[in-house]
Amino acid sequence: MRIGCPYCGERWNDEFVVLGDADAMMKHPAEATFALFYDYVYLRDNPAGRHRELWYHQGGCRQWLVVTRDTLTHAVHGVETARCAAQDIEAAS
Amino acid sequence: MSAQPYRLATGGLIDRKRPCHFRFDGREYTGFAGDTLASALLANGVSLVGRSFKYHRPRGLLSSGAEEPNALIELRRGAAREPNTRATTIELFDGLEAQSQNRWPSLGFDLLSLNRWAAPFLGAGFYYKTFMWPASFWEKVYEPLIRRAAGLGRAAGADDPDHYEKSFAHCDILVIGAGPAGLMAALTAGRAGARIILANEDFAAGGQLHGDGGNINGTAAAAWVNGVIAELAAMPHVQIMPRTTIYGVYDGATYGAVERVNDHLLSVPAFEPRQRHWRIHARRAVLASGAGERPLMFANNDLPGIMLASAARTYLQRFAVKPAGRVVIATSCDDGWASVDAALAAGVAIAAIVDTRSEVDEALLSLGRRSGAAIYCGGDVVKAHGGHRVGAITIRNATGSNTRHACDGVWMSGGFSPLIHLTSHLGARPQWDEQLQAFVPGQNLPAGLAVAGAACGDFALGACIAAGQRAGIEAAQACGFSAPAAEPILCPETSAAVGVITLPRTAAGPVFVDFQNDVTAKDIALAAREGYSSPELAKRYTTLGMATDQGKTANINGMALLAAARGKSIAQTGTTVYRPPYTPVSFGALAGHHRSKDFRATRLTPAHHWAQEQGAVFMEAGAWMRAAWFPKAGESDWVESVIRETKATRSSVGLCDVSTLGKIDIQGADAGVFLDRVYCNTFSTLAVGRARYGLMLREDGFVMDDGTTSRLAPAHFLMTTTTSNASKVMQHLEFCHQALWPDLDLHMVSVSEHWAQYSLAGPRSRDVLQRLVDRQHDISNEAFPYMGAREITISGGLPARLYRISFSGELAYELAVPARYGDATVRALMAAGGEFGITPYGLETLNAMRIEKGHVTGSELNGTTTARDLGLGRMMSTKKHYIGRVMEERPALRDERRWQLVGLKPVDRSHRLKAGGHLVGRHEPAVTANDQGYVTSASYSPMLEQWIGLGLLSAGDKRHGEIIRACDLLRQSEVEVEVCNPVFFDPKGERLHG
Amino acid sequence: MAEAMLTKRFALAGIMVPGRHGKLIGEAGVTIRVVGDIAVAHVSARKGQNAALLLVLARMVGAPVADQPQRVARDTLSITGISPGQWRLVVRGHNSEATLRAAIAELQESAVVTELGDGLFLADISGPRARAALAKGIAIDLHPGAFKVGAAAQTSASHIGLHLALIDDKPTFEMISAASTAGSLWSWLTSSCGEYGCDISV
Repeated sequence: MRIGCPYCGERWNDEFVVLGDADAMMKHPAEATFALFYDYVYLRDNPAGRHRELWYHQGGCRQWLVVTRDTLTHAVHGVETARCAAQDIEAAS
Repeated sequence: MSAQPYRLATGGLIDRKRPCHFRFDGREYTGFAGDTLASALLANGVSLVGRSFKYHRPRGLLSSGAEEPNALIELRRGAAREPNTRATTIELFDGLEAQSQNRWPSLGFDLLSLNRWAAPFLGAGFYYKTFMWPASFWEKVYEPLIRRAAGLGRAAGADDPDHYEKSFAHCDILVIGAGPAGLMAALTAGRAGARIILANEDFAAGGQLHGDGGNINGTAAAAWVNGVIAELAAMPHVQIMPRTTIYGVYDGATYGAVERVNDHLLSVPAFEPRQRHWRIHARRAVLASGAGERPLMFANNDLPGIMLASAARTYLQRFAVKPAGRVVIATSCDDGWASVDAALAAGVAIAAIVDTRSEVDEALLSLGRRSGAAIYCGGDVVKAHGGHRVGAITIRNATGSNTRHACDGVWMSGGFSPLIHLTSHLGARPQWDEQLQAFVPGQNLPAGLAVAGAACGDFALGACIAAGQRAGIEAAQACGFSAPAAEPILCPETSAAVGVITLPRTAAGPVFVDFQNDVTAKDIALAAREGYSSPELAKRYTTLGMATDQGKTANINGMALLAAARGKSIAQTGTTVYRPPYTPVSFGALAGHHRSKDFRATRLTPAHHWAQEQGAVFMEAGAWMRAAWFPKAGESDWVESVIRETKATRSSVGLCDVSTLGKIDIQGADAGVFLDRVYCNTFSTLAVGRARYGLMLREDGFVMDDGTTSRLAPAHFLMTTTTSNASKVMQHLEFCHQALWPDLDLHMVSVSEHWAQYSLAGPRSRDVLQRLVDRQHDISNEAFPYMGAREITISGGLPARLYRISFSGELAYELAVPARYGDATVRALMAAGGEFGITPYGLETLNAMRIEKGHVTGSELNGTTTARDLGLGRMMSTKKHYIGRVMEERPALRDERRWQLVGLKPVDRSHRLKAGGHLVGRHEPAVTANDQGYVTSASYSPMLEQWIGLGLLSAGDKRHGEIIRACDLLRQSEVEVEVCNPVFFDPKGERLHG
Repeated sequence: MAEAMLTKRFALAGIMVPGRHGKLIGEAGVTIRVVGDIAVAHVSARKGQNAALLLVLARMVGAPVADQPQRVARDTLSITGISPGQWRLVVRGHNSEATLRAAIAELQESAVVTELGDGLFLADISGPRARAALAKGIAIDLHPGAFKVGAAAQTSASHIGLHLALIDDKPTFEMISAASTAGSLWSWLTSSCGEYGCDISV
């Protein structure tokens, strides 16, 4: 599988480490209830299809990326830096 | 009897000026350069080349290519011996040695063939129904016997003496196959300027052109091929890779390939690999892999001399070899008739021609009549007769009467199956084409992969060439190149290769479907009867399609039989899905450079060389080599060394290399805020020039890592981590910074590699340091108290950092110097410490001392412990939010009965304690129900003069003084231990402040 | 500042053997020159100072510097992008440490700078077969059309992290990698160059 790092260009996936669901990030722990935290730590959906995920370009620029990947075909539909994604969320909220 | 009695006088792509002498089963033969082992054996009249897997039936060559199921031989001798290699793909070389497999004592006289009498009991799946009783016999009797009786070749049993490589390649277009379609695709795309890789499994380009020749554009096929290759070779952007099999398609337009760089030479040239693995990224790919001919099904269709018709033509044309003297041609498609002219031209007599179809083209019939052979339309081959070679064939005609014909060869054609394997490597299911009577590529092909030529069902030569041109143009255009229109190419009309799949009508003997696995038509029927009627189940039950050929000549017949047994069509039944590798790949190629000491990278500290000089014994700590102890003459084991090293350190001074710890440089106005969020304790309040022990939790509240973080300046911290978690922590910190808190004013970079760090511990440690540290830096006890951290210089100006921290519990420091000065610094410290008897110590002593002081390491920070479990609950701040805080507050993590850190001392001081033992009550049996914890670390304690350990014990905090048992069930030992305070030595920590 | 009295031990000490390696006949296909004296620093733009830093860097090398994986150099000093807002500064040769310190002084206002030189080694790899040898471990496309002069990449070879940049079109590649794994990387590199013949020098 190849991932297009915005800085380094397209690389094979063995340069990266995957963390998991990008939409399950705990942005504001101070405001979260315990139940919300529990869900955040332990519960994940496992969709068949497009999935936004956090990948770390350990073997390259060391940026954290949000990759939209199809879990059935490994087709990569989009890549942005986690920084941008985080700032988008901030701007939107 | 002349040498090579079956070699034709002229013709072939062989080089008659370069004879190759070789040995097969100990006998000497001669062939020519350009032969395969198979063609050379045939030229010498050798028709018996193997014994079948289960029944040990005599077998000959079925094919001329990679689909060969019978001719599996052991190539080479000694450590380079390679089993299960197909004789049809071995390029002949002078000095080649080969042996047949799976027979004893010899190929001609194989005693194990006696099990054919047991054939009724050895049908598919027989081992699921037998060999069950008594249970003990399985390991002692049945398995060894079965191993001896069945199986393919033998592994060499010695280290592979050759070396292998791996490489990466990138191109615009990967063309897979160098037959007419592949050559045309490469040529058109190459002329457009695209970067091309043309991969050919064979050592010569041309594909089926070598069997069916003719003239192309007025030139003989072989010459035409050479012309195309020459033009391609002259293009700098085209890479031609012969002897290279593309064995797999992977996500992301990625292809796996193996290049057999030097398999065709007697010895591998120095510094070259035997084979090279390639991982290729190709924006586009053209699969031009051709089609494979299908055998016909009749009784004893596996006898030597019975082969595929297109293979017979290849032996005749490409290798100038007569596979037989008198043949029967059996076919269910027009293409089989092409063998008539080929046979006559080579002087092979044709005894009969049988076509299973009742309607046959008049042109073919008149061709057949010219040969003088008996012609049967709508007929069947009933049975082949013979022992070590076919001697006669019984044919039944359309009206049902049988005739026997003497012959020493049968050339059969059941039609062709496109070689579509690569198209389904990513899951696309092949689809059945009723008109072609074959499976063709399905929907959802791998991205960027197009199929052209016979691999797509275009069997005629003209269609292949045109398809190749079109595919090349399309691929080039897709990559942004403009491709000129394709020129038309004149070539002979070839016969249609659509073959009707004919099921065997009689059971006059075993009808083989999968030659390699000895699967017969009866086995398929049995599988269907027993309920294993889907292709995937039938495959596993009968082993149809397994092993080295993966059913290339077997699957289609098997699927046809299966469909019939179920009363369904082939389209409804389907077929198994192909997965990589297409043909076997050696482990050597997959490993490449990564063998033995290069299996993975080794990390050495700057002082490694010095430690070696001191005679250190090293141990692996992850990828690092770390000194474990420094034995002195007369010491018989590590315990003696540890006693000496510990006593020397605690009484004077010791030196330990701690360079492997992770070190992260953290700067920025928000550095303190950041640390407060990732550590459970507070760092924003740490004064400049001070160090503090920090505990980092995971989001679920468990401890992730610990370390010492120092503040070198208001906005400058240096964090250390444990050796094994260095990269995990860095990854975590970068995640927190980039994904969670991108607005923090923060900079971090790993400096683990850039600082060599040495621990100096013991009452005289400061004295030693004072000889190195430049005078202007006051490191007296008052000026530089415990937990100080400062940038200093040593030895006349070298920048360094000094931390007064202690893992050993002694007065201690860690001195960090730029890595390249590590070696010199360690030597300078040893020289400065000489008068104090400075002693280097390794991991074992480090461990003994830290256990004596109850300090935790990775053994206790094992992912299942919380701060409270480790007695560090008070470190967790209640005044700030930090990662792990919320989940740590879960009631279950605060339960009194949780396994807590305790010290453990054997009651009998002479007993040894081992890590891993489980803790149970003193008089309770050692079973899971009574499990109360386990020993996490253990060492001999030089200060207490007995073995001690740390462990996790249920409610351990409240059980000091209790006697329990530590049971090591793995090593079968039990020790009574007293639960105690984990700080065994200097419990008030007085020695730190010296 | 007085000269330090301790001596440096280079990352490849005891590992590299100068001279001709591998195939002995004919011209060496690969030439490896290890540059022993280097000084390296990590440069990270201060918050909001990206543009200012780019100007300072451009002044240092006399050419525009972009926030890209590109290497720009003047004399012995080179600046290479390694991540957004982060660069690696490399000074080669004698007096490299002093030159680096001077450069760092210029950068203080717009960047956080961390000295790094010691845990790395640098080698220039050139020759007609350099690309083929490097492709045996480096997974990125090194074709001149894809990796042009000035291109840089953080990647790995043989599972060991390294930094690669194309210095000129002979071609000459600059390779920088960690000292602790130098032995393992060197083993892969020399093995890959073997069939082409390799000249190794300091």
